[in-house]
Amino acid sequence: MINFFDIIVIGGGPAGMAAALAAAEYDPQCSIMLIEREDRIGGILKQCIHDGFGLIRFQERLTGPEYAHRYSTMLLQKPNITIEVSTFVIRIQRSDSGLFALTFSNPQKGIFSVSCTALIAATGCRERTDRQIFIHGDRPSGVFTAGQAQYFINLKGFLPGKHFVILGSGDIGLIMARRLTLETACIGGSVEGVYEVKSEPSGLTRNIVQCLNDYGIPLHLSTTVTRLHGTERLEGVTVTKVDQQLKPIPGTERYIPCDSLILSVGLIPENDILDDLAPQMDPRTKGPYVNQYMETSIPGLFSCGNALHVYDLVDYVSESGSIAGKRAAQLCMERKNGQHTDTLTLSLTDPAAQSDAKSLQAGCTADHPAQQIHTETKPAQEAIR
Amino acid sequence: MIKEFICIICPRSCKLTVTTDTAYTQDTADSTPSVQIRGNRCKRGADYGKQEALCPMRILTTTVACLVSAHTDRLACNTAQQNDTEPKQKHRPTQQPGTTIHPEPQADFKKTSAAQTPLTAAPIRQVPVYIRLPVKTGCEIPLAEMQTALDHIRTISVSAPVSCGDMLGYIQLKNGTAIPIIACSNAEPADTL
Repeated sequence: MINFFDIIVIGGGPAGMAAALAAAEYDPQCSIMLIEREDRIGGILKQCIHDGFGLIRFQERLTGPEYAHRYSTMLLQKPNITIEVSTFVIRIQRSDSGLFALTFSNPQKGIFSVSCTALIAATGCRERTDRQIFIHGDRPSGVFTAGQAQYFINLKGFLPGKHFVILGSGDIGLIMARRLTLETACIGGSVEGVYEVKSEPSGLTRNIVQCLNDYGIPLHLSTTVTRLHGTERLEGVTVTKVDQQLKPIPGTERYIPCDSLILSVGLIPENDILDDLAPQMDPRTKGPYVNQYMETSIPGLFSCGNALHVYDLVDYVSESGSIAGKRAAQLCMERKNGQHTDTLTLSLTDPAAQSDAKSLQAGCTADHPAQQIHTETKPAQEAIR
Repeated sequence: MIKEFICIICPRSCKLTVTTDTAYTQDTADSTPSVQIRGNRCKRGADYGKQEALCPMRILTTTVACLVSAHTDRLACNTAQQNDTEPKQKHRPTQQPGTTIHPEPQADFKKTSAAQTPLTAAPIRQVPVYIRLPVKTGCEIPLAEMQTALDHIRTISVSAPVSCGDMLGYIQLKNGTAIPIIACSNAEPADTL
């Protein structure tokens, strides 16, 4: 088995697929391994069966599975891309020479190790759960994140409930409001309404129009769920209006009977896998700091897609993946030809890039002034040691 | 008549103001010059506004059942046997020697009956395995007919292999138009989710 690749991409979602593809297109000699933990690539696109994807990337209105299909078809045509599905990353280490050594587990191969020159982390994001937004009450079943509900309905063919209340007006929540309305109508189910704690909806306007307005689903702004009722299964929720400081206003409580609460209360980049490498992280986005090539503070380690920061359109996720993939392939080529210069140093000598880096730094100084200057003035590799 | 819409064609969400004659109907839609659309930043917005004032149209996406394989479900059979009123012990002595692949269970194992019957002793049953295959309507359909269209598409069941873009069937709109149902993903036999 091959134990060295030029590039390893972790995550077979839209960002990872685009990264692998861009790298393969940039350098047909570059060997790339794409790692996916599920048994098919496509990531979350597989369950996003609604349309509206690819308007920028393909100038077409595609559904999520179609968008994933386009990319996977292109990937399969590249002989220099190896795709490993049902594969988990167990450990990532970085040697003194700057190579990454990764340990994987996979049902066919067991535990195996592969090293690479460039590593692209395209691990996506996770949904915030009810535990992270502190709703009072017991822990009855029937509280789902929007993505969980979407998984049950679109991939498994199960309805997670009958009468729904949706908390949070994120895009997945709005999409699920429409999907649940259509799918539960034949059994007399309903979506009571969408509740948003802020005074403005957080999803795209087009989703408010085509998901809520089209189906007459009410959107209650400045209102949140303050209590869950029921012990075994959810029996109802209490919703309360909030003031400008997002504090519940006493006396405005209202009880709504329902058997399911769907949460669409934000997404958090998933970067636990990078803990051992410890790239500098942005506390606001929860993703690593990157330069204009999506390279983190660790040379050769790239981050793209929702693992970097949460995007609203998949087209931009793919774009960030392409940038990372292309630069990673460039880096491998330079290393092979022995002409490698550190990306960060390179970016600082280029006048156009320098202004970019400065503006990036300007945004960061408030949080980590000392660290940032350190990174700026010294080559990145030294800054990490 | 003046109507206001938000264009949903792309994420820019242009605010459209559509001014129409009251007589603006399906018959006059192609010829009438009296439809004015303002606020759109591209041609697609104009088309959308024109159509939205007349009859809102949307793509419908949903899933259909797709048979991928018939797998051998021994566990399900074991569970079924446990529910049998006849105790498992009675079967054992009637078994011909040599028919059991596994050696005879230990004595203490025998006492615990059906729950721990060796898997090979259970009859094998073929259980069909379905996945959900994402589909969409081949073109936009009236918003008002979404629910009936969805309920109809739900009755469609297909078998793998299916390729992305395959036509899986038709739905009939109220005006008699047949709209194709298109697969949005590949499904290979024995593909599981």
